[in-house]
Amino acid sequence: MANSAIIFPELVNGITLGAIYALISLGYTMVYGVLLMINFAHSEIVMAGAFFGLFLLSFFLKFTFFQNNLLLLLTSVFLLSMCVSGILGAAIERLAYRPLRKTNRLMPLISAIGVSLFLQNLFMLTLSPEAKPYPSVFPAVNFQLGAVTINSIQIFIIIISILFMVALEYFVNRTKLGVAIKATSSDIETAKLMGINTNSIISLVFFIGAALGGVAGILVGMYYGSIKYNMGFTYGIKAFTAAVLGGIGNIPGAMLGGFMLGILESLGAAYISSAYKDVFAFIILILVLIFKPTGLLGERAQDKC
Amino acid sequence: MRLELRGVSTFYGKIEALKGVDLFLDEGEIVTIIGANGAGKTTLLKTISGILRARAGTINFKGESIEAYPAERIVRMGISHCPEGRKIFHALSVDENLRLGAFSRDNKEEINAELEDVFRLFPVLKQRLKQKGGTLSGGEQQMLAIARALMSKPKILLLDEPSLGLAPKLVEKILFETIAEINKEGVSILLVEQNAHLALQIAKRGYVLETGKIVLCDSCANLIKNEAVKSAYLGGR
Repeated sequence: MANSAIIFPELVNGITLGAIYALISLGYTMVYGVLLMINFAHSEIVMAGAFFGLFLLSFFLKFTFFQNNLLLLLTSVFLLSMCVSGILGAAIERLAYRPLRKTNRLMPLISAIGVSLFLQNLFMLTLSPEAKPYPSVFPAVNFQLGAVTINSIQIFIIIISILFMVALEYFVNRTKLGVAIKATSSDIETAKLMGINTNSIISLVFFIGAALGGVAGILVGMYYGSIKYNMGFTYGIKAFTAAVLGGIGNIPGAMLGGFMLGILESLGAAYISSAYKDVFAFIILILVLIFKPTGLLGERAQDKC
Repeated sequence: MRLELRGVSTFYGKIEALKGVDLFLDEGEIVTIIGANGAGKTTLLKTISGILRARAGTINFKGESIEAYPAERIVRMGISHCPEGRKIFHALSVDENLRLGAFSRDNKEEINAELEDVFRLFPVLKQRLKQKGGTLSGGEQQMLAIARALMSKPKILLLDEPSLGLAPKLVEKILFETIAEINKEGVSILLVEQNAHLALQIAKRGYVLETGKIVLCDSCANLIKNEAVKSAYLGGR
């Protein structure tokens, strides 16, 4: 039986990973919400976002001004790379999915896999087939909260993720555009009748999802200290699992699913075997699909009429 | 500000659902379209509102050919479509539903004034403001759907089967009186309605649509007396 010496570090690790999964799964779930499509290229956005972050960090770290101002450095890196990732996400939709929207539902899916392979190979060929080290901008400090030890990077990841999730919840529920996103998700034709330009809303959804995925990529880089062209796959498939677990199409569900998956996976690794770490995610995916395909919070509102 | 359709044909895949429809709606009119299920009534409204594309023909409004405009632009021009089956956003509150109806407008004060106007027509909605749309009764949902369509301050309202699934009493008393009132406030109405009896009473002119073609077009007073209309749509009385 594992004792608390193992549980607490694993729990903290699980929450940190869960925060990252949650950020990524929002992209899957929001896109599914508006287009009923799984954007398999989303995992490559996470990878690309990590590289954009790496370039920006390396670039800004050349200036003493940024070296001495951590907050400004991080703000600039995150905001800029979010914009680039977001534009990449919206561009993928525009070029690879929109022309296929009126075809069979399988077509955009295949196109997404194509985009995913294309991006992986593009980054491998133009950058490096090897893992790239990520500059550490944080002094690694351990904090002791009772019996729990948590380090500065973990705190940073959890805070950043929660910050973006709260911002997204606010945006979706409290702003005119956010409500338009919800309307487009629930019924695209009626949304058009409201005067909503649903194509712009779809672009916006891809932008937001990709921007959050890009953030997650940077966080992965910071957490593990290295990134690679094929890193997206594992995170993508786990975040996708998180989205299904929470109920695909449901934004709070994706957040919940992300944290739950991260924690279950880490505890499973601690209690059973770390060699099986990646297996847990897929066992969960299979179980959810068999027993509760709508997920924990998913309830595609049935039309009464 | 006449809305005029000339030779409009709309396809679903290879099926021609509208076959060269000619129709007009003058300012201030209520015009009804009657026809059996599958005659193309809903297709006609969807073609006007830009949800479906006409493959042939022209749709004119305010001196412009609008048949190629996207739906959101048509809303902005003043044509609002209240769809069949109400299509309330179930998970959103009544307030959110209504404000979505005003999505094309930016002036907050005007939108709030418009809200007060629709509350005058449908006082019950004011009490339900924070409730989710899906929790309303069928009649309330229909009121919400019409109110939402009015939030864009349209010149023309396209109403698709507003009485569907409602209690007959409610239909006669509230629904049709309200439609008449909306019309009095200057909104022209194109009404698709299964209850041909009521529709012909409230409208000034009517069109009969059969398998995608307009087969008859006359004043409602004449249509009510028409033998073919009587036997096909008015229960043969």
